[in-house]
Amino acid sequence: MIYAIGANERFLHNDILDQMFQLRARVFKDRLNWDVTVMNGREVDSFDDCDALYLTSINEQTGKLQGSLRLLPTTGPNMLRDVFGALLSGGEVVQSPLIWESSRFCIDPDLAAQPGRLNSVTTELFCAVVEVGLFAGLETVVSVYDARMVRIFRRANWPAEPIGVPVQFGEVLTHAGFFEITPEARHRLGVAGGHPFPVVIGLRASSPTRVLAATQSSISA
Amino acid sequence: MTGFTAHPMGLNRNFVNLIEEVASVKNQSEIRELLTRLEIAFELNSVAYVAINLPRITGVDRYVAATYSKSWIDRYDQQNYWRLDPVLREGFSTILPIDWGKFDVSTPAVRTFFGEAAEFGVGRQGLSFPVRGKYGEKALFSISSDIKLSRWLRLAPRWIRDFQVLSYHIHEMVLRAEGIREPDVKLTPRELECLKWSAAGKSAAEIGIILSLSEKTVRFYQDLARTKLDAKNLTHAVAKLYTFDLL
Repeated sequence: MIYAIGANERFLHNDILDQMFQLRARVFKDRLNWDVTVMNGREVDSFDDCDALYLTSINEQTGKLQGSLRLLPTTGPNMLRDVFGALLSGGEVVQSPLIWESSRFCIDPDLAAQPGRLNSVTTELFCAVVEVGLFAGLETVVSVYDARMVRIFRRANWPAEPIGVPVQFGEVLTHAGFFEITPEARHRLGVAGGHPFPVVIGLRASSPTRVLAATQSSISA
Repeated sequence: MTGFTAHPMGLNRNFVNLIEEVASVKNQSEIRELLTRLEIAFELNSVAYVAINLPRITGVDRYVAATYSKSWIDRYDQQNYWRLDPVLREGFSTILPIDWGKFDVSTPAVRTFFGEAAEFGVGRQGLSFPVRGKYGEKALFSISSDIKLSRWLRLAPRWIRDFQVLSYHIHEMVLRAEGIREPDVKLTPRELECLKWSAAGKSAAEIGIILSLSEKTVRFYQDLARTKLDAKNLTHAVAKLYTFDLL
């Protein structure tokens, strides 16, 4: 299951977020050797202060974090604009209220899938991106990713529509691409990863139906 | 802006007209007028825009434009609801759209707040849309309505995308009407360097020594940067550097 944790709920999920910052250090520094800053075993950057919305996959039995990613609006500070601008050297700007950026996608390395197979935590997180995107009325998610992800997106039936030109950053050939946010995309991802039901906890609970009725009665009471 | 500005799926003529109307607002006096037109067009009780962390050039820490009654705004200030209002608290930290129905009204203070709001004409149903801007500023655009709950529940989900787009355009409109806009410039590394040292209090002669340039060349670069930034003098140019985070 996926918790969507915004800055308004960080205090409720300190433990999950702390696991996430540690997982990011393990994955991006230790395994992929990206140019990221790790302090006290945790990878945190300036975008974590920008009201990021985290999608975190939690193992229901153990309560352990299995994978996570970070969403930021493209109208505000974001990595494509502020760090990977070189990918859009044609002067294009991705800046729209209907496009959010996904970054820092990572999966617990101990849960790696068999070669050639999709990790169900991966598809669960992709499903969550689409669910949250639909909830927020988005059309598209943009992301910066490396070659190893291209195959995964294709296998998950959620191919990227490439934008700009790939650029070498350090050791990594980096791409930028758009991802479709539609009920159809959610359906295809669900089929590819075996997630027929909503994966994100909490979006439903705050859906208008139930709670509004409660407000209504208590205000008029 | 080139390229990828997306449009809402249910793109219809009225909505396009509305966006164009928002885009045509040039000054402060037209803002309130436009919010009122929105209120009428969507049969709303109220439309409100609040922004914080605007670039420091404005000298205000909070910007408000709303169609609320004067009596509600006075009451709100007087009770300092700025601190209590759960919509604001959440809207300036989450990026997800907020349905007011989600708030826990079991807390007496929150229940009183929403109850009073309703007495002062604010709708019982509401949606708020957080906006995050390029200078790190935050805004929240809110609508409220008293239409029948069943109708609201049908309309609200369909409005989410349109209002995401509208909220952003309204934010841009306020920045424009208030004269807050990004200087349409790219400074070269040399120009930036010469300005930065000047910001650190160095004279053109001193900067020349630091960068191994003649004093005249330093002045040349500073002048280029000043012109690009549309600044009156060097101090003004440095202030703009800070304001627009070009450092």
